[in-house]
Amino acid sequence: MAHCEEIRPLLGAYADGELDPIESDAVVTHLQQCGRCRQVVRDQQQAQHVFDSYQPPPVAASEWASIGRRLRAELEGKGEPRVLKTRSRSEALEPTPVSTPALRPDEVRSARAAPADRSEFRRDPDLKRPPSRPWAAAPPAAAPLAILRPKPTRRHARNAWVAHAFGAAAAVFVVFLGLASPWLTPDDETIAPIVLAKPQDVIIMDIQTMDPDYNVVLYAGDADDVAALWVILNRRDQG
Amino acid sequence: MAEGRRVNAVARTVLMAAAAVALAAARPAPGAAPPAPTPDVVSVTILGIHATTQPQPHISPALRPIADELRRSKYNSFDLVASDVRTLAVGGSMETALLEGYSLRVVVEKVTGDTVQLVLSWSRQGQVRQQVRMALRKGKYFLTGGWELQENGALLAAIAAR
Repeated sequence: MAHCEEIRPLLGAYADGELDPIESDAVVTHLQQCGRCRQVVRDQQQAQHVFDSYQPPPVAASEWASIGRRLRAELEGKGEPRVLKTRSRSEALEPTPVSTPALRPDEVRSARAAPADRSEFRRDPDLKRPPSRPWAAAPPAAAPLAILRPKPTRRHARNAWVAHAFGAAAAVFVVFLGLASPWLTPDDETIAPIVLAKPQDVIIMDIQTMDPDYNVVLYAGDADDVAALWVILNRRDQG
Repeated sequence: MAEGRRVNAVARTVLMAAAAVALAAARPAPGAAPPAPTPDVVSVTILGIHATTQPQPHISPALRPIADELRRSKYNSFDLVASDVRTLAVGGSMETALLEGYSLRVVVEKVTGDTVQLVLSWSRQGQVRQQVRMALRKGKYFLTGGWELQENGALLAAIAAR
């Protein structure tokens, strides 16, 4: 069984239904045997229920005109500064039940010895426990596991599609860049680095020139120079 | 938990992006050396270069490694107008069309060790103007040409086999 110090940080998220199934199972197993943590969860859920069920008091249609006049007067600086007469939301709520005080050591021992009070849990027939959990004690065979499953919140589910859409768009963009790179990169970059041939890298075996307007110049400079074969327009012949 | 889900979503995004990058990297990178050919097959490259004299000198990025050599000519600007790479076996040939009807044909005659024997044929409008038989060390570029163009400048070429 997990200790209260390990489970206590998870209780808030458990009450809000934000735990993943494995963590939720661990909390449920602990709650079956720990009355104090169970009371914490119960308090949180009751407070949440009160907040969820709170409805602001109705305002009669005839009062809206009066409220509007007062607001306009205050905005124009003509009215008296008014003290807010409405109670804060927390004051308007029904008082939440007082949490169970901390258990004495003997109460803790008796709570551990006694079978867990599952009266406030409703049964969850869909729950499937993995075969081995190092932190979870095996449930009693006679008592099917019951779980208090809080109302799931959809806050994260609403935002999840944004992350998914962003990820998919980024992946598509990168794939597009990869596939389109042959068309996006200039032709110049497809050429291997140019290293010019030096005289010792070239052997000219035969030259045939069929254009009488050009003279051929075989250029082979010093040992460090490059070899080249140029044609030069014969200006004298042209003139 | 919300944090955990957010982390999962980010991890999923990163994984998808990594997969896409791996897919993109699977294709040969531009500029990468072609796969080593078999002994009797070589990869031949023809680069067509248009040399001109311009008020504002410029040079194509791919030609910058040989800029000093090119500037020994009377021109100050050099544009890469064609680049053609083919894999040829012995006896194979390739022809690249260049400017104003000029074309350069390369025939691979022999491959011996680190040397390739080539025949270069300059033609204009189907008429051969010059033919050169030569042995060239693999991977080295040989400069040739100098044909003056009617419009402006001259036509050069660099040929390599590897």
